[in-house]
Amino acid sequence: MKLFYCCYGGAHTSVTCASIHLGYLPAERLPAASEFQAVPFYDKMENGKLGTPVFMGRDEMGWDIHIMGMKNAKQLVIPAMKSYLNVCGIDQKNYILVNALVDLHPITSIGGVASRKFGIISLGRPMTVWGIRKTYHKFVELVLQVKENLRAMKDFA
Amino acid sequence: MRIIYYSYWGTYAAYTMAALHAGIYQADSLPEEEMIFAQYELCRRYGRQAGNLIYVGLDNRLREVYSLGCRQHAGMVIRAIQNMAETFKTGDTLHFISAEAEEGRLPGLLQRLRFQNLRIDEMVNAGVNKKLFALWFRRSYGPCLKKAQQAARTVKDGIV
Repeated sequence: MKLFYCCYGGAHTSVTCASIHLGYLPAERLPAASEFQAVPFYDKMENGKLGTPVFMGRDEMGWDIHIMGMKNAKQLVIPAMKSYLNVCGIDQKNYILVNALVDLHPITSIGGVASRKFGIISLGRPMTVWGIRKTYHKFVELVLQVKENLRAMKDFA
Repeated sequence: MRIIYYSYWGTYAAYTMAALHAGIYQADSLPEEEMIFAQYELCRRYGRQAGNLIYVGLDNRLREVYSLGCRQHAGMVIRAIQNMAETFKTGDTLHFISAEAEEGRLPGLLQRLRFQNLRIDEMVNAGVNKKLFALWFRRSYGPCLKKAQQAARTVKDGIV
């Protein structure tokens, strides 16, 4: 079973959510900026690889956690993925797509554009970390909600 | 193996080429008017939707043929589908064939005209749209046929 955290660039918000989910980042406290730098794939996704799911790890319930950037084409990419899996006979209960685009601090977006679009990593990356730390509780809330739903699904099954 | 013809719109050139590949349209002559207007109806109803695979049929080697509308995000949609095949280990071989060059500008105009149908007398407008579609179909049929035949020849099992 696979879970995809989807966002715009697949570099910051989805990576943060997946990291909280997998315990790379703490859920109970605000991580230091250096902890973000240690997260695999943080601020790394190249524009030419958008649409590629990246495997981040397996959680305690056995779900494979992936991240995915879809730019502004999620209305297109999601139906394409779902219709392909449908023709392959893969049941929808085998995968979950989670929108990781929480209410972002504008500094995160500006930093993301600076780093990923214009390649100014030294300026953009710290800005994204600063912005994500400001709204970190929203990421934690989203991940806790996702985990709660996964547990409920497991119990129900 | 699945063969997917894609373009900006999923029901115009991509569909025509998929139908040619699957043998729904014949190579030696233009389809009957009834068939042309059946595709017009498909465009009218589903032209605006994108991202969903449209199953067209099986080719002579029993491979499934689809058409797909990708708007301007073809690269990303193709990557997403190919990676889903890998992630879920479907064991599928996928072949994507672009129909973008055969599409031209008329389908975009037709879609816009259809959008404005609500304002103008629908009967008159539908007539104009149908004629424009038939004109586009006849003009693009040759290039679509050539490309579809080339694709059918080159796409062998597992080899492009």
